[in-house]
Amino acid sequence: MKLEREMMRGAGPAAVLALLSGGEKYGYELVEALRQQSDGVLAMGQSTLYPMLYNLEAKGLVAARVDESGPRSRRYYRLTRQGEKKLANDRQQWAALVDALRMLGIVPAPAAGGTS
Amino acid sequence: MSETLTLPLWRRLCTTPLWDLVRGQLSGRLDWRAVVARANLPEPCADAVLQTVRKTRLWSRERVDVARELIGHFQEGLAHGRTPQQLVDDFGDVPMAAKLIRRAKLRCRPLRWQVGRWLNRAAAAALLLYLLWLVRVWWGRPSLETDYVAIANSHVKLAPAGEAAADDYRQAVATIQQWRKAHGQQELGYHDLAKTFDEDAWPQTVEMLRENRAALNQIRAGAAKNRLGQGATLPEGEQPVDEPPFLIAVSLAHLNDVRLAVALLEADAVEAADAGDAERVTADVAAILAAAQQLNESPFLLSGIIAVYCAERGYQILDAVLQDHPQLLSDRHLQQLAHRIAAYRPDWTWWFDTERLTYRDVIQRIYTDSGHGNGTVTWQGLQFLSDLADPDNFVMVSGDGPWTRRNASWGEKVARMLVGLSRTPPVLAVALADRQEMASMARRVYDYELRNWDQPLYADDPDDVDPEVDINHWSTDQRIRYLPLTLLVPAFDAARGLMQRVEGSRDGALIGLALEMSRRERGQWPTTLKELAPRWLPAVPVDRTNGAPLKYRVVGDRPLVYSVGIDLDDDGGTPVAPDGQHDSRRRINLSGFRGVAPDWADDGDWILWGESLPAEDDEPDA
Repeated sequence: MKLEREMMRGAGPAAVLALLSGGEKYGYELVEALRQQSDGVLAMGQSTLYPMLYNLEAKGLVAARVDESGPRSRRYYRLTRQGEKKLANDRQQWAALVDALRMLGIVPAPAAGGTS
Repeated sequence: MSETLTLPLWRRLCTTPLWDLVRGQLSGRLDWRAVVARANLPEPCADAVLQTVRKTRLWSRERVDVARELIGHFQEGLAHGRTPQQLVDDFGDVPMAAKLIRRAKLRCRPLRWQVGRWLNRAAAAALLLYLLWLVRVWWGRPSLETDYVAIANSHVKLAPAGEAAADDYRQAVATIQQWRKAHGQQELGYHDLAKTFDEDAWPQTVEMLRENRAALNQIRAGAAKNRLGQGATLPEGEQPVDEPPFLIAVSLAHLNDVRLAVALLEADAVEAADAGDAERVTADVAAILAAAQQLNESPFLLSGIIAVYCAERGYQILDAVLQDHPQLLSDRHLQQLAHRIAAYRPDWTWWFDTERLTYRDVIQRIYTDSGHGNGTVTWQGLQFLSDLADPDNFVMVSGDGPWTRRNASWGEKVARMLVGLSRTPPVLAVALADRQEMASMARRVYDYELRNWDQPLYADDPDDVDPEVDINHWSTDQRIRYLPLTLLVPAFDAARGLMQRVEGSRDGALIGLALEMSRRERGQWPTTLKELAPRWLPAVPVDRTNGAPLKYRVVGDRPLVYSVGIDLDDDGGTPVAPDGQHDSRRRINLSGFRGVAPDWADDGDWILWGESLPAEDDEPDA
């Protein structure tokens, strides 16, 4: 299943920030990670990912460096301190949103004994 | 992929950063096409990168960055076993990608660029609005619906042929001018009038008067009529066909005829006094005042100025006759003239009201009419205004007559500046107030200027100044915003000064006649003016400048009555004018008077009756 564009617009940046919280990554790596770790729900093409990364860079949430030591030139992105704060804030908001959706029955309640 | 790795020299030159050039390296680092070519991507991938990067329309350096990143992405995909077509399919929509990348990259640009971008946008928006405004100005048409010349002439009494005094004055003056021409004499002009009384010219003047009795009788007959029958007219051939005539372009040629006719009566009165003809002296002075009274029909401040000028000539000739021929006029004559002088009522209200018509006419020629009191400036109106602002076309701001503003040079500066601006009328279109604001300000300015015109000067309040509507206090911005007013509003304070001075002269004439009658009855001049009331005057007028009793002295065997003038300082009867004569043409500017003498007030007194004392020196009083 793929998310509608409006939902992706909200979830995509948070997902990218979350992936970068685990360490710096380059563009292709992010695309693959998004596809695999979200079971394809948050998969996005280059046409979406790179503008998103540039926007996050413009806002100061991520910083980039070019690594030309390997066989291919790579541009690595990492979270900035401001990005970390933003991610923390996003986490709270998404949690609150999921709780609210759950209370409304839009998101099913977790199975008994399961983790939320 | 058609790109070659060897770049032409010019292309390398164009794509080398300045810093590399300074270091002597022709690197071509900013050639993003070469960067893509060097990557050796499969053609579908390279095309996707080229298309995307090209459509971003970013700076070369930014394009190179984007190209490298996208190349890296495709290379990673290929290295992970994806086919070129799969990677291109996953890439997404190229135009959309380019658009989003451009938008995001622009956000990454430096703050100074962002500021410049917004400034450019603001300038473009302002330019667009300006162009739209110009289109509106271009399409607008003034609505010329009101014939203000007809309104200005509404006080002109319609007269059947032969019943209009103006015809008598015109014909009589023409007759005398023809006689002078036939006798080798220069045509009589306003500025030559004083010369007719010169000792050398007087015999010729007497001859002219004696040879033209019929013409003088016609002038007196005209003065006896109750209709002037003449208002403002357009010069021949300038009557517009399809629109109301322009008020400011009208001619008041009849004023010159009246002025010359009065001058002839004045000379005739002197000649009659020399000949011992008291009846003719009385008739001439009465005719002078009647002619002045008739000008109440005629519109505009200029008519008022000529009217009171004429009246003052009447008072002064009477003064001169009583000085040179004290016994000539009988008590009956004196009483007759006193009643005539007391009855004279100049209609300043009408003259001032017709001045308001001028701005109304100008406004209807500049703006459209929304039908609700507002309107926008029009292209035609701007052209009209630029003509109006041209000092070569418009005398009111550049002359030095009694009705021009004291700061005429200021008006002229503004006018000249705006003539320059009018070469590009759109600039003026933005600066001018709209119709409603202009009309509102005009009403306020005229109300302010005329708020106290009929009260004596001593009643003025020193603090009664409103800089918002007092043109003398306006900034350059205001002078431009309300340009028609800057150009058109006459110097009402100067007119009021003249009016007050001439009203003072009328007081002086009435006092002078009362003094003469008192002297005849009691055999000596009274010691104070108070003694004149109520036997010879209902009440003794006070000095209009300070509210105090008028100054009165007996000099030789003649009384001298004077006002201290607007310097509010008693100069002992020394007149303002250096030649010791009343000078009606001398402007009396009251700007800044407000009951307190301004620093620039002319030193000297206003002589109201009797012969003034010669000035002892030219130094003003401390």
